[in-house]
Amino acid sequence: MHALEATLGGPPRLAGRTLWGAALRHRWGVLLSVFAATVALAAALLAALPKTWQAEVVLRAEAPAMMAALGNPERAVPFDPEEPTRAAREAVLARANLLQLVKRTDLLARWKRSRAPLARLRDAVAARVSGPESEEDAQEELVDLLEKRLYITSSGPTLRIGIGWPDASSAVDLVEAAQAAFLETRAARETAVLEEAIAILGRHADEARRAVESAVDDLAGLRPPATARVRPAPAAANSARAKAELLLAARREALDKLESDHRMRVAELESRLSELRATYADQHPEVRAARESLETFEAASPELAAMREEAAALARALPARAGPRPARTSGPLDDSVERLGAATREHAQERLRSAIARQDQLLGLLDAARIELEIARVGFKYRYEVVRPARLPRSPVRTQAMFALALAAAAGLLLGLFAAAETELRRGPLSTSAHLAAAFPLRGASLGFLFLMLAMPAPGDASDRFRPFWAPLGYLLNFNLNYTLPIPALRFTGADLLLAALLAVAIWRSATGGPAATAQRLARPLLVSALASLCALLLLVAIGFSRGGDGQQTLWQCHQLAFLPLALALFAATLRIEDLPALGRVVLAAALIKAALALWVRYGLGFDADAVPTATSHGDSLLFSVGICLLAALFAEERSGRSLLRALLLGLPLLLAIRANNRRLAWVEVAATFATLFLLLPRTCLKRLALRSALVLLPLGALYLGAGWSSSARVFGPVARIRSIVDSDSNRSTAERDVENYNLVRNVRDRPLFGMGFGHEYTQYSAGDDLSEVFPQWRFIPHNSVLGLLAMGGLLGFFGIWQLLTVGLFLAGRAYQFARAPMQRAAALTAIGAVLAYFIQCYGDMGFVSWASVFLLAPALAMVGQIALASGAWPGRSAPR
Amino acid sequence: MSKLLLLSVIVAMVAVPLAAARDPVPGRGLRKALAFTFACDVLYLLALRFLYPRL
Repeated sequence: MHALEATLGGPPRLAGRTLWGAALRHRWGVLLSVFAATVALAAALLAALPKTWQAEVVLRAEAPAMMAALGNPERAVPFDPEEPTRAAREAVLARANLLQLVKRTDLLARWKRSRAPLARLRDAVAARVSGPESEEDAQEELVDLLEKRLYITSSGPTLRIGIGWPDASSAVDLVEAAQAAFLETRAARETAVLEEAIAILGRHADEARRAVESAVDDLAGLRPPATARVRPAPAAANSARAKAELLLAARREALDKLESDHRMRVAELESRLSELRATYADQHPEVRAARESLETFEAASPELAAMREEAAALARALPARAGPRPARTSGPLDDSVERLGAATREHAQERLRSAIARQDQLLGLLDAARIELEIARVGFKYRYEVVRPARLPRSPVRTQAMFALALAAAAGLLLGLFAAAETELRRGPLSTSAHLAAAFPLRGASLGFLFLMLAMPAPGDASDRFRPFWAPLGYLLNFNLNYTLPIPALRFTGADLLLAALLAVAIWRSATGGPAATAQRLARPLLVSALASLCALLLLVAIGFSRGGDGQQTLWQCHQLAFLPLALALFAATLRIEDLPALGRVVLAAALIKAALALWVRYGLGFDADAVPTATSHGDSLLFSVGICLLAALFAEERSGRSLLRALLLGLPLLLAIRANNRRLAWVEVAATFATLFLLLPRTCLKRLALRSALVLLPLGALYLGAGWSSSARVFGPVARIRSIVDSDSNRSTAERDVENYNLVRNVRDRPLFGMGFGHEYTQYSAGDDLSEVFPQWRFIPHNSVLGLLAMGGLLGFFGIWQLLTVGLFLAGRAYQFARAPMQRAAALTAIGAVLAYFIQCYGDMGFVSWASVFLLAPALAMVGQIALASGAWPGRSAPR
Repeated sequence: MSKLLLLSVIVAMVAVPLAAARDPVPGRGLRKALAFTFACDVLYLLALRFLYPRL
């Protein structure tokens, strides 16, 4: 660097400008060639890479209540609008179902035929290296791929089944097959219960029939009525006849019932057949099946035939009446016997009546269940309406390809510029690539990176109901690149790529004798503790893997945690204390952009909290509260009218954005950071006045809180909000958090020292709501990240990872005491507020997986590390400690 | 009460380093910050083990 200055006779920035200008003037051919080559390479890659064709079907479920109520008016039919689409994802993505999809669509053969050139090349290389793949393995791989590519989303009664697939016709077939599989599963599920019920009722009806027959036998075995006492000889014959008559009557009744059922079933089948004929041709499989079942049913019913034969045999075998009508005899003993006989007969008759009533009741239920089953079968086709059928896509997903080309163009321009500068250096008067590193605008790039990470939206923001035109850039940075770009291998985020590139340039610059090394500008404990935090994280990853942890979930859990020390190193290497105003402007600009988005979504587009629960994202609570904290700290330190005006003008939209974003936790963060800042501020007249006012207002506040605790009046809205945070009985969400906290504490108690490691979900000891439908990783990434980290890392992991924040807070506290410049003191206060807000965000809203937390904490810690050293709050290398 | 217990770790993790920052000797202050934070974490763990189930 000094050599460059000596050569060019100016400061580094001038050297850089001279270099770029010279490169543009003299080497524009190199620039254009590199640019054209990069774009051409990208276009060729895009042509050779597999394309993605998207097909989607949209279904809408109708309320089943009407038909079910017609079938059985006595039964109440509750209707949950989400029930018909519930568990759709599980139904479609079941392993057996996916295997069936592969077979039904002949996917294996089509997959091989439709492979893109590069993919074919890769297959050929893989086959050479590890031998040809068996058909079973290939099928299993396709099933895995289908599981990843098929998406099933439901919103109320609307269900979307879609896929992005390298072949257009296969995409359509797969979506149609998935739709059919879903409907078949639902139909089977809905009728299976009724079929089971019918089987159970049938068994009970049989038992009731046997009870009737038994009662008939008993009654027939008794003597005739008291008014017709018979002589012993013909009594047996009459008893046999009576028994036979009763049996015959019972058989005929059962026969009538069966015939009635049979007629009804035939009528139902005829009705279904005529309905199907109205929709399909005679040769349609469904029509043929219905016709065959009707013919089968009409042809013969063995049970019915057997019953008829049995009844005829009973009629034929009915014995003739034995002898003349018996003469009545009398006597006291006979009267007693007759009375006893009459009582026994009456009891037997009562039993028979009761058995018949029960049989009638069961037969009625059986009838109702059969009708309901039939109605369920008929009604199922009206249950789901295809709002938008799957159509053959006309073109692959082009927006992503265009975006990739635009990125390639930007990268080509950058590469061309570097190539031109490098050529200029090699062929010109300068001779070392160190100058190139020195000329790279690392400070601007870091600030730009920070701004993009804070201001750009991520997938899922505003529940994906509103996407600004710059959203793809945010998706590239915040999410894996293959989410936006059509290259499946890009399983890392744009942020990873940018961080690695910027760190590489910073290291290159430092290694080639660039500006003062980071270690000389940053308080040493911060560097050591960042390294220790990274080591603790790696240790927990190792512990998790040793216990069979899931690799993918491990990445989800510790991506941002690992990013924090690395981003801290980047900002420490690229930003100086003089960059504090620029850093503040970047943070405030990003917060205001996000605030404008939140206000637009909530009030401009009018999405209410049901449609869009958070106007931007959960993590933006931290951005808004840190923005407000920064404005308050600047005012507290500068104490000028200008800073007050700035705080009011910029703070108001941030407060409104917190309201629009609908996260209660953000208010807690603002209140907690204000309280902490207030405690840290020196005792001034203003602070004393505020303290006295607070003491006076405290009883009034308590009174207001007490009066409004159980009130739903608008004037007590803030009290209701406070209550919803602390009182589990007032809010389901708060109650669910209590259940989660209980479960996490139990997990902490299971493994208190080293925790369970990353890659594991916490064990549920007390069952709460199952969130897997909306957030599949809910047990890997609990809402309470503080207890979550304690459960994953145990005492040592928890302390090991977060000692970085302890050291950061310590240095911020000292920097605030030692620094004299208002900007530096405000920066130290903001860093304290940011760490506190981060802890609160972690406690309540998954703070450790938020990008906003990383990109607010990392520059804040980098700055306090430098302020501490510069202000003497932490001694330099030579000073005593 | 159980909520306050769960939240106490946040208060400790913020208050302890800020209090330790007032030590006139920076190195000793840092050691205090780390040691007392670790001690608070241990106490928190013990409270979760023995106190939390009774609240």
